[in-house]
Amino acid sequence: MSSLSLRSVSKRFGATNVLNDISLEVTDGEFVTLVGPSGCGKSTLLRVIAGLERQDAGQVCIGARAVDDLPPAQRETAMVFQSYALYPHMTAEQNIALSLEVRRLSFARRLPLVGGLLPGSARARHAIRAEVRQVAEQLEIAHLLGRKPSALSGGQQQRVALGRAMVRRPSVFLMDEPLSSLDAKLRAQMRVEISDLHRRLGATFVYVTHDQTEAMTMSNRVAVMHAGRIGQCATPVTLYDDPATLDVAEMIGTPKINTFPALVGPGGRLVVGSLPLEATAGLPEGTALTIALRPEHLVPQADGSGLAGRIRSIEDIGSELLVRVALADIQCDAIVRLPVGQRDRQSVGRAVGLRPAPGRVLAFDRTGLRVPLAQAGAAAAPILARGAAAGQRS
Amino acid sequence: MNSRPVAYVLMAPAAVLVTLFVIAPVGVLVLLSFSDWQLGSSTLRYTGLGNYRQLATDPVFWVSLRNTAFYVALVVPVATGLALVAAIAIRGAGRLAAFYRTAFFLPVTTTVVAMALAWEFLLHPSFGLVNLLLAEFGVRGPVWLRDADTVLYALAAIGVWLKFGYYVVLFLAGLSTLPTDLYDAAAVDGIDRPLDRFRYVTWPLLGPTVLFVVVVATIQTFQVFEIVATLTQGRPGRASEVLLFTIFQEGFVYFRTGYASALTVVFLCLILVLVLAKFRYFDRKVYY
Repeated sequence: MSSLSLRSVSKRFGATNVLNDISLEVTDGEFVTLVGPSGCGKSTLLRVIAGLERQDAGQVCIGARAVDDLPPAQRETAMVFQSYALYPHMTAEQNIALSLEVRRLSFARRLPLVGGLLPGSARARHAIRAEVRQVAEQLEIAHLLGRKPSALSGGQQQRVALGRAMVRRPSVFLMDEPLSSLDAKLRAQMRVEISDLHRRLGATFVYVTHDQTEAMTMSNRVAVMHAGRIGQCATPVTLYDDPATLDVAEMIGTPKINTFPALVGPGGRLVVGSLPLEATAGLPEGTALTIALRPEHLVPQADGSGLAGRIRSIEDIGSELLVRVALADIQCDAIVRLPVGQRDRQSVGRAVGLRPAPGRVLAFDRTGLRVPLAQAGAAAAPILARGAAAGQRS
Repeated sequence: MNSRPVAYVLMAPAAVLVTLFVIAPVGVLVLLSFSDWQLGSSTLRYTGLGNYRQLATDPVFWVSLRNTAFYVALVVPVATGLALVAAIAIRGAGRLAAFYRTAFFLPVTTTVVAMALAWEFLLHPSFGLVNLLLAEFGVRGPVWLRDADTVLYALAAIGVWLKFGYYVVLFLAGLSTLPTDLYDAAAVDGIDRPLDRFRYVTWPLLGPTVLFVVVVATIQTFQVFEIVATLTQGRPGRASEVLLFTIFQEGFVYFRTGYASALTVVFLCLILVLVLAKFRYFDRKVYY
């Protein structure tokens, strides 16, 4: 088992900076997810770690060892591909066994017929079979070992791909969107199983996905990537409550965080439309900002005060209501998350007034960086610390 | 609405052309093979299986068949094998790939007769480049195209050179369909030496392409004619007599059209066997 560290890794494809000065420390046994929209460089970063792609600058270390000059096979990493990349002409067993055979048996020993006659081949093969079987039992695919990939379902192929990675006992597992070709139900199940697997193996996992639900539910920490940079790397809760940039705030959370244009008013007080908020920023009057509010942090007011709007649609998903409100004042739509208890009180077309929950307003400047806010009237102490507080969820 | 009349109308041009230029001529050919017709003659007599009986005992036919088979057995493995190696090398050649692809393909685009003349010069016993080079190493080169022992090898070498670029292109097309993910997975698994990569990934996955190229190459090689007609005329003796050349001689030199037709029918049957074999495998497809 090993830690993994990336130091100022950059990579260009032609004129495009795919990776831009990326630094990341993954501790031994940690589950870190790289999440971001397509084209953000997350898969390229994973391929750089695996050694399938060479970075132009920077260093990759696994454990205490710089692996930049090592070919993929010697990096003690295993990779699970989005397409599974199983060898179609081999059975599940051969797929899993191949990496061990290539490592432990010479080219001559691996030849059909002749190889079996060489002394020691049988013993080595016997050991490999036993290890393959053990891994297959862990993944509950022992009964499928004789089948070729084309005779396996997507989920079963996925397990074979996991088995192929596990059998080598790598110190770092790299997973490139391994669940994206599964259907929703299977994906939810495999999410749990991969988390379990991570706990059981105690190995370091680096997991790439564009699905923030996967990122939030499986990881110790999530690195949110955007245009070749890591916007923030923190625990899922920190990313949700305390995002460092607008990109991060928008990437994390479903439904997406609400954003409204705002201005800094007299005394640094934030103003949305004509509504002054209970928050101040230490910026000159007239500065334009974007404020962001999670759907559960917009509260309908019984007296109709606050941002005036009209309910446009209601999504009742059983456990909660997602209400879309058209805010006339600022010409924006807002999504409000309400408990199902309010089901009877809301109807499409009804007028509502919304106010932000106290202390929950997030503000970002024009470049998308977080602006620290203070509670209006209180001392200037920021209510939420700015930036990439790196923590670890246990 | 009934779409069948429309279908027939749409099919008609192709059907007419195929009938006119393929099916009818083959039909006429089969009929002629049962006759003693000579080109230009106004009479024609039905001879039944006479031509075929003659063919079975004709030493020229058997020599010709054996030479053709020998030529095919030389050219097909060498041309396809070299083409596969070249295609894999080109894939790894980076910037020079386009150059090599074009260079290898060039002979395919040339006029065979003109190229045959160039080869005649190269293989000339006294001032040909091949024998001059051999002389540098103290080897006295044979009279390639006039020696019964070497003529088929020399022709085979020319045949390989002419066709191999075409197979390179076919293999390149096949290689480009192999998923790169598999090579990545193989690299992570420790399969990073070229020989292992070929054995575990390229060769098994390229199976359908290899089969296709071998069948196409066999059919094409069977049809060897131009280089024989321009360089050796089947000589010395009958050492380079091949099927198409025999057919040409019987039909257009000796004007024994009936007999040439019988030869052609046999030739077509041989090709047909290959085509059927190809369809048999390809309709099942060697997929996994």
